[in-house]
Amino acid sequence: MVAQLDPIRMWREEYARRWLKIDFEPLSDAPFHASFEPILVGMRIVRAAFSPGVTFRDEEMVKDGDDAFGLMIAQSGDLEITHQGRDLRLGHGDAALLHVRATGSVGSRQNFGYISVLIPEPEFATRGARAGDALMHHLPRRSEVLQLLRGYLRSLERSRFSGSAEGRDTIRRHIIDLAALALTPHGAVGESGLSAVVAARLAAALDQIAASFQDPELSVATVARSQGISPRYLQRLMETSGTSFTARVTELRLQRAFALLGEPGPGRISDIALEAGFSDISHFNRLFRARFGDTPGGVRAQAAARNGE
Amino acid sequence: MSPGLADFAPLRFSTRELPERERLPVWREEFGRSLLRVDIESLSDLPFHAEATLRALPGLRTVAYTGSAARFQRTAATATDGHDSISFIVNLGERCIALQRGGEVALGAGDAVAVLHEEPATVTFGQGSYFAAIVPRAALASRVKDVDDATMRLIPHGTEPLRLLASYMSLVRDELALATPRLRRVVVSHVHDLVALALGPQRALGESGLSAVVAARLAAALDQIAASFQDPELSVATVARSQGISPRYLQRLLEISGAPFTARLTELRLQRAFALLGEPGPGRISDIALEAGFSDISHFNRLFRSRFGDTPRGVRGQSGRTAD
Repeated sequence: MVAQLDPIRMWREEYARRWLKIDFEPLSDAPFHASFEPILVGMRIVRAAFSPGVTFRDEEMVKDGDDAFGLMIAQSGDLEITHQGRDLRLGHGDAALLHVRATGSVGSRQNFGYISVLIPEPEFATRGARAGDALMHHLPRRSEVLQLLRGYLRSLERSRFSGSAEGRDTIRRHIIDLAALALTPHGAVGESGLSAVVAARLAAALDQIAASFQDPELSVATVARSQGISPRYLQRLMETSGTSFTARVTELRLQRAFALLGEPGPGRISDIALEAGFSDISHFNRLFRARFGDTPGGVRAQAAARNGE
Repeated sequence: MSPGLADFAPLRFSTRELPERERLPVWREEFGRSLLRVDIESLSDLPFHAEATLRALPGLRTVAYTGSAARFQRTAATATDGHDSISFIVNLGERCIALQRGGEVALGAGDAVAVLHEEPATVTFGQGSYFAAIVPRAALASRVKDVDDATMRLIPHGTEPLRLLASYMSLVRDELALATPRLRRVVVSHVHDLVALALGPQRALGESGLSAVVAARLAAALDQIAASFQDPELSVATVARSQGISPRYLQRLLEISGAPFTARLTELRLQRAFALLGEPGPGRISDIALEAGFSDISHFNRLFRSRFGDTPRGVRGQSGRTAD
């Protein structure tokens, strides 16, 4: 890197935006530094370290059409992430999933670092993981899967693994396996104490909810009836998945509304709310704002600006 | 009844609490004969001491040992375990010598060797530690060309897959509870993969010096291929176009990665078909081939057979049996 002139500007324009598909904004007068170390050839996995500031993807950059999901593993304390209207603060070793397609930022007021693992969505899908549902969840460092994943990556870095093509494919698969498992909250489908029968019932109920959340009439009673179980049992099943019935349905509806607002074209916001499954517009507005930190109108305006309308 | 978590917890053994003269006899009986089915002989003039951690997961048993120098011997009489497995031994102590089928391998610190677990063998360990991963032969046979041929060969310390395996095993063999069935399954299959990699031929390609930019481009292209190989229309031209590079440059990038475009695509499709054939339920083989991205069934059959040594139908029949 050239140290004279304006090293940050050079680095940002010539290198970061163009090749790394991220940008950096300093947050202090501390001398700028940035480093990127690829961890495995054949995979978008890097260890990144920066002086105080934020790395981000803005409206301009997300136009690149990249649709991967990024698992960010904090390699310093106090890593602040803003993405999809939510904020997270990660401690060293914690992780969170981001969608590269949407804007977001990762940074800190101190020197900071993270490991970024970019994984295409179909890789999650074939492993039965719902990446879209796991965005911006705080994945705690103590989770066994994260411990394994971090240990695996450390070992790759220490040995400066180059290996054979076959070996790299195997390792890439392992990393994605562990990343996909890390997204599944402890106690979710097919996990821990759940018997196969209970897990199958829960999966069936979740599938029904995912297929019919846009119906404003959907309720615990209707799902329970069509699954042939009692409403109370359904509630308890849902709790083993780490969320309640209402919270799950609301989240699906909000995500749907968010996606619809990002699509070009007219369409009244009240119609979008209805299509997503809400029947009370002011209730929708309130939930939306609490969830994404912006009004539906604001999100749509941003999306329109992004699409160059 | 399904096994509980306690069944997968590590078991710890130690001679520490035993009176000195009982240590060796108790260890020989309880650890040697009952658990490992080996005769143990102390090779030290000092009082015998030993500690071990054993763990049994479905498809993987692990042993970690620290203690006096000792000779472990499995004779024809004790070699009747009935399972067909391979023991992958990593020596962490002083010199270690393995004898089996008339072959001899001497291991320094950090070296490894695979032995046929149920066949007569003698392994002499110096003072120090070792660990072993005992895995079903069948799990390796599908991953390594000739498993028997890969046994009784020195795998030198510092070999990349061996280092990965050692660090993975250090977490698996006693630190983590592995609390869920899915995590256990994933971990066991990873260990199988890493053992197979360590047993396979080691090629040094030395392209780890790629610049971050080239590495990023290569990775982006590989991601796209991995995400869309099931599309029968996928070609060098389509991938190159969406990556914004020339087809020729894409080909060169992929050559750096060790597998040209077509070979990589075919392998992904074959692996996908193989996985689909292992899933329960009906479904015509031609549909599976289509879903994996093949558009010509006889071409698929030919490729499949030369890759896996069996027809798609044969593979499906086998996976049905092992699932029972």
